[in-house]
Amino acid sequence: MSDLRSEDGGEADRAAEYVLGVLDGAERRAAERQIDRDPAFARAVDGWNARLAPFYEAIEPVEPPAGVWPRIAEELGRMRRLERVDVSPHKPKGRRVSGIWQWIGLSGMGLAATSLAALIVVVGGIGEFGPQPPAAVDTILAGTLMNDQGQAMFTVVFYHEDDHDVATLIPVVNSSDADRVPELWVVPPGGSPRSLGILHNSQPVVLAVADRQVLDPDAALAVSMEPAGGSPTGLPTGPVVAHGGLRTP
Amino acid sequence: MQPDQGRAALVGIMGRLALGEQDALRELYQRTSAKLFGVCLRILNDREEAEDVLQDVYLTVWRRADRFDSERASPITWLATIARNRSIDRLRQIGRRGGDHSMDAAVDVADDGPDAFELMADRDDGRRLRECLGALDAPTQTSIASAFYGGITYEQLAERLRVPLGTLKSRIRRGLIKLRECLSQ
Repeated sequence: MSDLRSEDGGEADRAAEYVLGVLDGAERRAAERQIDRDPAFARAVDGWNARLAPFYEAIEPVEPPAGVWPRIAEELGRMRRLERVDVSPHKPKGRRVSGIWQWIGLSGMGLAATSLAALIVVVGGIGEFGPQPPAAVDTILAGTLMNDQGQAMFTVVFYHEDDHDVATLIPVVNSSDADRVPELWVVPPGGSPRSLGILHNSQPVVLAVADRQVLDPDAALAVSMEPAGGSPTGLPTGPVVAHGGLRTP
Repeated sequence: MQPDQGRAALVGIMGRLALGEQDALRELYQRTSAKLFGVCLRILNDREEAEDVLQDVYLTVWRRADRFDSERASPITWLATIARNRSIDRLRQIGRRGGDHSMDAAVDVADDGPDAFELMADRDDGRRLRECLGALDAPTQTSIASAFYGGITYEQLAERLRVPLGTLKSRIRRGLIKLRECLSQ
């Protein structure tokens, strides 16, 4: 691929140029949009950020003036008040979802203003931009998936939107297993596990769920650790690290 | 403090941030603001602009903490990258208003680039980047380091280094390809 030459004599590696910082304003914004929608490009940018990271070591720390932190704290307080206001009057689904977090006891653990905000965007966004569903929330289920020691590993919220079901899974504990990925399974009573999708060790994941079996109150959910890309057999092959069920809040 | 201990502590703080703990942001600020302010100052070369951007950086970190993935980036690199990107964005805004703040910073690096490389040699990744940069010809080394520390566009950099734009672009693009090949060995 290094045979490809542009008129300037070198192949333009857009990710490298973005990270190096030589693009003009419009080109930078284009690259940032590409990061959001093109995972391969986002990985290339991550790669270059890591390659050039040692450059930062040569930058001497400089203590910022004492006035900066109070301004950040003040602005943060304002942002948090806005988040709360934002959730209440116009976004009934958002309020409903934040109620779920209280129900599963996570607000007491200090759950995620950020993750919660992201979730509300997902739930609220569909109503805002799609054809206005009058009462779109048919079903909301929630649960906590725990390990054998009773420690919460993932929290789940399952809801129905228009014509599809969505499950949001948020890892409570960052587990780092470089070689394996968590995979979510629904286990029907007396049946074999069926995969619902691949989760992430340290980030929230939103899954589209086609399998209505999860609505069975006797069905269980389980998370097993699988090779990258998911179980090769269609059944769990690795250890089950978390399990639990969904309930109506 | 050992780098690994520092890293583990920062990963813990990032986790608490993603859970919305406001105290974690203060702790993060205490541990990292001098480094990030250094980054903003290096790019912007203007204390007031750098203070302004630093404030913006921590609010961005608060909003995006759930996107931090400890498997994909070290916390300090992730934070420094946000600080540098925000500074570059500000630089582009200043540029549109006709300012020219970045030029002196780029000159500094063009003058003392190789010394700066010495500072990154004490860790494995720094040593490798330094070796791979050292394998490039001197004008290419200077161009890449000036671009990184200056945060300025190809056009501005070409003017600064007094080389034709096409020459600079091809020099940097070829340099980046060689750098990637060298670092992947």
